[in-house]
Amino acid sequence: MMRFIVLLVFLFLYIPIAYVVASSFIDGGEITAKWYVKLFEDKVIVGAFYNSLSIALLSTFFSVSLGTIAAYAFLRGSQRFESLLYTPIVIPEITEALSLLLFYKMLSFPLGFYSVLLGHIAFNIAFVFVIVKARLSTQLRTLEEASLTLGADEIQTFLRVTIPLALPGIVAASLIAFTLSWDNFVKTVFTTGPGFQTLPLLIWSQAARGVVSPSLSALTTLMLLISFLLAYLYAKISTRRE
Amino acid sequence: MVDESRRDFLKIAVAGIAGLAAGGVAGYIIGGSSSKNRILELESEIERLRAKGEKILEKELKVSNWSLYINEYLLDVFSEQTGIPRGKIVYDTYDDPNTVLAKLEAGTSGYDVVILPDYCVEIAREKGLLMELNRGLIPNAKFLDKKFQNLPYDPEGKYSIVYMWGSTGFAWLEGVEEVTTLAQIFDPDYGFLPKYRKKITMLEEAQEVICSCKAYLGKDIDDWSDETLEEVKEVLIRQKPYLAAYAGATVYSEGLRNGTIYVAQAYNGDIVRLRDESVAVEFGIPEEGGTIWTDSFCIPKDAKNIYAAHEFINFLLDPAVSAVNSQFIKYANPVRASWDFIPDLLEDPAVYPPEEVQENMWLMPSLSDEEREKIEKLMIEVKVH
Amino acid sequence: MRQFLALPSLIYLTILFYIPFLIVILYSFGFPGFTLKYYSEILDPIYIKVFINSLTLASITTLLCFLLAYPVSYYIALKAGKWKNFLLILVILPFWISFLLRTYAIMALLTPLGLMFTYTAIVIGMVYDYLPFMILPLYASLERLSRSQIEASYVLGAKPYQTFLKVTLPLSKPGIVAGIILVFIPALGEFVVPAMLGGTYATIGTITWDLFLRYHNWWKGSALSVVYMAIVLVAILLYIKRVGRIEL
Repeated sequence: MMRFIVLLVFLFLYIPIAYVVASSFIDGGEITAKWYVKLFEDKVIVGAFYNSLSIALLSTFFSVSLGTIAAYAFLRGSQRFESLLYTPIVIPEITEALSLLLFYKMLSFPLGFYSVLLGHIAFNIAFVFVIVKARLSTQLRTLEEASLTLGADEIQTFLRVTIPLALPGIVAASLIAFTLSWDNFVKTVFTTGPGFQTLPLLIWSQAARGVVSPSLSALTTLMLLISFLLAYLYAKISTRRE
Repeated sequence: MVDESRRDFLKIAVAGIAGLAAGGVAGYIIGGSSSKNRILELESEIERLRAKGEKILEKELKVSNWSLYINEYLLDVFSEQTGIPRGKIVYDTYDDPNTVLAKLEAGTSGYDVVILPDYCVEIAREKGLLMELNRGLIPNAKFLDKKFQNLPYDPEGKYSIVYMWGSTGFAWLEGVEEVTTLAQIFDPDYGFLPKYRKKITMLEEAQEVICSCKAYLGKDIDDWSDETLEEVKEVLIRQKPYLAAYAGATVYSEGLRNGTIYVAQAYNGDIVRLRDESVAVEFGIPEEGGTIWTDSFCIPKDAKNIYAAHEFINFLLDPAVSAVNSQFIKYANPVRASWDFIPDLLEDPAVYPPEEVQENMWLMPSLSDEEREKIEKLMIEVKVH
Repeated sequence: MRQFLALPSLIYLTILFYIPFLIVILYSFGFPGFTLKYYSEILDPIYIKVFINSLTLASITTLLCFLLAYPVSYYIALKAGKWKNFLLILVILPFWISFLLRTYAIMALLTPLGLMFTYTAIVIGMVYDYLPFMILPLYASLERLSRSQIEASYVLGAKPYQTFLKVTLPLSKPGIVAGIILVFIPALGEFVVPAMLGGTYATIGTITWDLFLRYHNWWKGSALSVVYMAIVLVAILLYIKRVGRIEL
């Protein structure tokens, strides 16, 4: 029964994807791979892709690092400042984006790669914090104390007990942070400068003229395929202790 | 920036003089008339540089424009002509001019040339975000058609020059009843609205919706009295249940393409593009009229590469260039002298509306802050109703 | 001592979030002037209606996401073995396709069903876009459960549904709360999905966007944002007070 629901949900998630993948192979009624060829010739799309990727990877790395240790810090400590970490989730994106723009202007901070990255990290920290915190628990404390009693020092405990226990939460948080950054539009469009375009910006600007080049569908299909294969291979290879 | 070019010029001048001096010394040592010739050579070289000095352009340019709104090869041509490295010409596209406007409002955009629609130009101008254009650097402006000079949103034409223009009308899929009068769009009793319920979209821009409503009511476009706006609000509220959405091309183009939408208040260029894709869609302007919209060049106040910016504008106003551009992007340009080169575009009513139709059309009216507040209130009330 | 670990994040957020937010607050009072007029305009009953729209939409979205996500998270956490991470990636992959492309796909798929530009369409779009934000936190929390705890429950004589209600559900509470936070709150401020799939439906998000970008009224947009955020934050704080802490 449960497996049935799970299947349904995955179906629900993937039907639109099938549509996008299919549309990357169609040109006016015939099946063709021409959009894939065009994709590699299109410097603008490729450039935007790399920009998106670098921002997403970097913002994930930093936000996960900062957010995770913050989650660890608030495990049982004072709750007073904790709510400060939730506000970025509450603010409407447009408001946050414009506030950052005004802030950068105040500091005469140049708009471009760094201004975008810094904005993304701020936003992502909050999401990472919530997810990792959900993962860590009071169980952790007992296990930590056990580890310390058994003679390990703080650092060893942290590396060998805490982190492994937190890992599924960190993985989940990383996936979310990456996705939020990768597909972000509102914050990015207002904090970017001339010449720095990410994939969502490119896609939306084309859509505003009513045309989205199927090469973009081709690009995303490729991305999906590669990620899928990598994940599959990794799972096959790993021998996980249960 | 001017100082940089002056510095460059000075550098060249100094180098020239140093060279001259060195040459003079060398010549003296080598001796004779050959050194005199050398000096003359160098002198004329400096003379030439000085003449060029008036027109020393910066080495980069940053432009922001709608997507799919230029023949990109023209950027290569521009680069060749001016010596600005192609790699240094940044051509960005935006999804919504309001985002660029927001950046200008915040005080920083980083661009040297921005192409904005009329209603944005007005706001930018009023808020002092634009630089006055140096018409002396844009001689090609003389080729503009009179109709596109001194428009309501920039009465003295100091801050903008029209790049392309077009019309706002309605698009309908083949097989759908043709849109000939605004009564179809605004009056449920006419029968059109119920027939195509939830398959009709109006534009997102409040001015477009309100002005066409005013035209339907027979009111003057510049009539912003409370009574008129009250009437407009009533009509819009009555229309709303039949609408699919207030949408821009992002939604209606895709919608028309896959049959989600049958009728859309739309900009002509988007429909021409759909037509070229072999989507069976028609474009027309109802008898009460439509907007003649314009997209214009502007230079933000904080632009760095001012000479290059002016040069770019001048370049695109060249009749031949303008013709090539129009032909490619299928939009109407305001450069009268170019019209002889694009006869097939002139014949296409979806690109250049015929004279009789144009008579009913209006330019985007100029708005005061108070009028803008009224519009804001009106549309929010309609949307929330 | 360990409290200091939170410092980097707090400092970062202070600089890159709270100081910018201060600017918003200034604008809400009419910076560079000072006036309360924008706040008074927000008190208009229209905005209450918009807020309620957003509230209902966010609630329905969160509920549906929860019902759909729980089985999936449970399955991945407890039944997938070494395929856990692979399935997680499968869950998130669709969201690496641009929002716009996904939404166009949804548009095309809903049209033959006659559902485009209806409230249902908005809900479908919202649930679709927010599902991973419920699945992943739930998973992170459920994965903590060990099979032995569940087995122990059976050994002690509990039936499956009892085990679920008394063991699984409570132990996954942190994940549930996290999921609700990450879905409900952003969904409240959502504006793109209603704009694209729902046509004329007004939410706080769409109105805020309009105020800032279409009507260029940064003051009123700021005021609306501040009021909205104040309401939500106060609600969160009250919840914390009642429950003791956000049980994460």
